[in-house]
Amino acid sequence: MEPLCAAALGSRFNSARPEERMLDLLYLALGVIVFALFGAYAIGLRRI
Amino acid sequence: MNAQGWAEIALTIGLTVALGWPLGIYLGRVWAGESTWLDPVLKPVERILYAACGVKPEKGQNWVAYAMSMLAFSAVSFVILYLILRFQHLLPMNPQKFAGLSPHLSFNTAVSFVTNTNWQSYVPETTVSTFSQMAGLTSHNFLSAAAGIALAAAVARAFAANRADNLGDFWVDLTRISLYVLLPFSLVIALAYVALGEPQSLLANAAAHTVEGGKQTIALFPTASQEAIKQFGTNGGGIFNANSAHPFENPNAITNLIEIISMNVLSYACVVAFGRLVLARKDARALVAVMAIFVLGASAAIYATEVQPAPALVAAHADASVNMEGKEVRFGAPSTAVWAANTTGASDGGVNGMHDSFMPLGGGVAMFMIQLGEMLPGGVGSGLYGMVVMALIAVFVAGLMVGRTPEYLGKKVEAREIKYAMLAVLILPLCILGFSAVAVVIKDGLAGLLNHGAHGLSEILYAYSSATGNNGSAFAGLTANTPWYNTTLGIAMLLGRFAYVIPVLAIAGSLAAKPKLPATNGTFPTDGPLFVSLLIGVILIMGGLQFFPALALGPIVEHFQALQMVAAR
Repeated sequence: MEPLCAAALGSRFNSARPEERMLDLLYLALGVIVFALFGAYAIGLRRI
Repeated sequence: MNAQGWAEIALTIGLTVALGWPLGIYLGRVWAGESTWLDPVLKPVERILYAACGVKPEKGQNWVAYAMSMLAFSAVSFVILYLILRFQHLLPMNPQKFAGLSPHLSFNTAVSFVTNTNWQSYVPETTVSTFSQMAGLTSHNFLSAAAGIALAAAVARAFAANRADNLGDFWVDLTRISLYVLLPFSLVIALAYVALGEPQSLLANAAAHTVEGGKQTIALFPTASQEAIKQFGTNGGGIFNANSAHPFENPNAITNLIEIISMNVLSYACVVAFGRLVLARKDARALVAVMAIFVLGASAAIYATEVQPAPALVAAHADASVNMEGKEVRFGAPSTAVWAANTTGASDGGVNGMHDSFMPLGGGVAMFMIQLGEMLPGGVGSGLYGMVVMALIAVFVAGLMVGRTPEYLGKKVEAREIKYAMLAVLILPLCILGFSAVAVVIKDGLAGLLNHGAHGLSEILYAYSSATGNNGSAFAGLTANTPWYNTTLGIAMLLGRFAYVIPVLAIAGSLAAKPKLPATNGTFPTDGPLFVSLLIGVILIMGGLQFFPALALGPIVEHFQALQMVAAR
């Protein structure tokens, strides 16, 4: 995720405050992981 | 209460249902890929989009592929919207010079608009730039609504199919619904709003001189275009903090009527289109009847409570014949009541009055409408598939009672479909009651409350009901722009949307693979008053069993406290 943000925003992303950068990565990762879990849930439901 | 008020409520609901019919016929043609009167203009655009994105419209998807496409689209939308909001200060069209949103607020808002919830933990006119509003939020008003309608189309195809696994193509549905339904109708509605006095401007604000000689800065936005899709796509997120109580978003009684109608008409239209695609028009009429009965009942209940005098004013010996706190004088109690029932029965969430200022039972009815599952008539698409899930449970219960094999629209309903249905409906109490229970016992949860006691509980319960039901309206006494609320409400929105939709698609996949059976003497009729009554009973009992204890501790206790206040004056 971090390379994605850095590529999109360049030096501006890198100049953001470290604690905010960490929170950005946490929230983006949270969202993406939840969507991935929904995908796994869909595959799991086929077994019912 | 007076005859004019009752007539206003009946006219609004009647007009909405009536207009849903022609729109539903048109929507059915769009779902089926048939020709429309917009083909000469839009067909070439559609072809270019498919060619550019590598979509093969004739191919189709099974339910897992359909679900994966929907999830992938939503995940990418979430990441892009998060980055737009977070870094809006680096992006163009920010005449207000707004800073980027905080990480937790960006997460909440991105999830909110991707899931068609439009819960807003922020004051829009002092937080979100014009670019974020247009490229970020308004675009998702179209796309999240199109995704919901696409899912409804997939469910309709499952009932029409005979031993098949093709539910259509998510990308084709998303494209056709956006191009042929949402964009053209929103354009027409937006132009009507401009003609009726709503601003449509890229300027940051206007400077006004008051009659007292002072200066006032009035925020401006492209309001009319946002307002059109806000209601037509059951989004509900306002461009101003006061939402449709703001005179720019909803200047007069005519815009108010158009907004109420447009927030529900597409939900009814989805049911009509479903009936045409499945060749079950009478059964679709029964579903519309159930939806309209609930909206009418809720409007009547809220109207009856809101024309009572406010207890605190009565106790203070003040003149207060009607509870006008939080209501706009230009709309009055009947319009506010029918709006509240419609916006909470649908997953719209736009408001023309403050629900937090309703009488306890009026606010309780609004909250209960959300908790019933947002299918009365529900959000665009989500109302239809929510109602179909309830119909499956109703025929299953009826089958158990009389010893018949449950069938719905020619499809046998078996244990597998009911397991999927229960997985879908149980997500609501799990999220609403679970998150509320945690919030009322931890410091971070209680920190956001402006009211304590029964009303404080109602505020928290309403927030998680609204988020899980993808509604977006709020009891405004709760300060939700905190890491705790932004994060947990965001997770509730995700679960309320996708943990519900995935089992629904699994039901669709399972039903599509079954043979289509002809109706026999043993088939339970699902197009008459008996089925309508059964479905109403199932919806009420399920909602009542799940949420009545919590409601008893919130709005119902508050109602008795108000009565005690009046009695003790």
